[in-house]
Amino acid sequence: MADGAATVPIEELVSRYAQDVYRYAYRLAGSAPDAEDLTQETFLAAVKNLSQLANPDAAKSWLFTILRNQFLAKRRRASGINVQSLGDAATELVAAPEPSDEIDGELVQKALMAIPDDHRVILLMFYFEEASYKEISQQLGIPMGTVMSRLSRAKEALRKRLLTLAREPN
Amino acid sequence: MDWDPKQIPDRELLEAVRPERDGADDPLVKELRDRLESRPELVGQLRDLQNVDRELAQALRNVPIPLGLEERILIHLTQVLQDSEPAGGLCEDLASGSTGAPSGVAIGPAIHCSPAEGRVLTRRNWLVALLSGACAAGLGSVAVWLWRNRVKPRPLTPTELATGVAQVFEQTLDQFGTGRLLSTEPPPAGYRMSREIRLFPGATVTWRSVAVGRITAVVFDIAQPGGEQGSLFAIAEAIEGLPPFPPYRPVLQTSRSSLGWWRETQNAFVLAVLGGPRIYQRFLNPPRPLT
Repeated sequence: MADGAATVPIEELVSRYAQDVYRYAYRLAGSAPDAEDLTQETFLAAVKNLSQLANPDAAKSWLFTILRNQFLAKRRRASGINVQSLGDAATELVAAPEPSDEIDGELVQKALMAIPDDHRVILLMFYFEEASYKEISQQLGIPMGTVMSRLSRAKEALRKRLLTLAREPN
Repeated sequence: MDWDPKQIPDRELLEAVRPERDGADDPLVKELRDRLESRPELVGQLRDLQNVDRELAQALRNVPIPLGLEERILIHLTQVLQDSEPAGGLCEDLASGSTGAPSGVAIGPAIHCSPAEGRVLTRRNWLVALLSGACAAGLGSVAVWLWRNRVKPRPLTPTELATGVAQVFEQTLDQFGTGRLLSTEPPPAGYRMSREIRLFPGATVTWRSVAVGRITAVVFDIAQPGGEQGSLFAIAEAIEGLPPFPPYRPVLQTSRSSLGWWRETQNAFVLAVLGGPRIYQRFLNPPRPLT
């Protein structure tokens, strides 16, 4: 047995975390079939690398990391898809919308899919994983300053897109 | 810290720093506090942003979960690991405990390991074999008694059926379309095509018999005019737990094929197609409106 390896039955891993992984995958990939494929690939990679899971309590964030890597690798392979950058267009300040009772999940998804992959990943790490700017920097291997500027631009762009979509007639 | 916190624009600080999450000792949290104290107008902005963040985080987690997700993941894991592990590989390692994988790992719900082949027969093995033979002969009468009083084998579960069909489908692809033409020769009594299958004009259907584990199935090989290939496995046996209509999305996917299963009266059906969900859906009649 690898030193420090966890002993988590796969069935338990699936039953405890499949839904969280699927939710995250759905937000990353944007559709139910793609999310399910991504979820299955994540658990397959997890099974093959289970000896790397040193701490069972960290299983969820470990699975999220695998999921993110699978998503980014897939997107790199299908290069050319959604490669537009936020650039300066999103640096224009947009006022935070008034908090409402509930934000429509599908509207959020539409807004999210309009954001480039690398920014979407940072957004979801912030919102979904509740990762700090330091953790995002460490996990993605990018400088903290870059994380902060990308996160700020991506959040701005998401809100702007949400406002536009909310104003559009059905 | 490889850059000066004072140089960070207000907006980035407000958007990225979460005092309750990042900790009081974080240099950016300190910087944020300093700015909030010296510029009260930022307090309102921060509060608004935090409110929106909370709502967005909640909305992002609100995703409907498809039925059977966990089961499909486990089936997929079982299928892929079975396909990728040769005899004497991970299966045997798991059995002997010699694998580098953690001891508490159970790979999938039902992985059957093949016995290792090519072991050298030593004299000790011969002796063991002879003794085993003698024991077997001595137990013959018991076996006869058991045979006479045997109970029916445990019925297959839908998962076992689908896993078996997936294997047979992919292992007998070279026999696809080699059976008898359905238009000229009907299948054996008790087996029929499902009414849920969509045949495009020009589709060719042949049938042949195969064994799926201990079950005999009639396979209807369907070649659609567009070149898509699918096989409908018809089983004249009631299997508990099958849905009464075909799932419109495949329940099981391998690297090559997609499968879904259902029951109609006393027949169980498994549709296996070469390709992904879109190909699978082309083999099914569109869902009818509920009346």
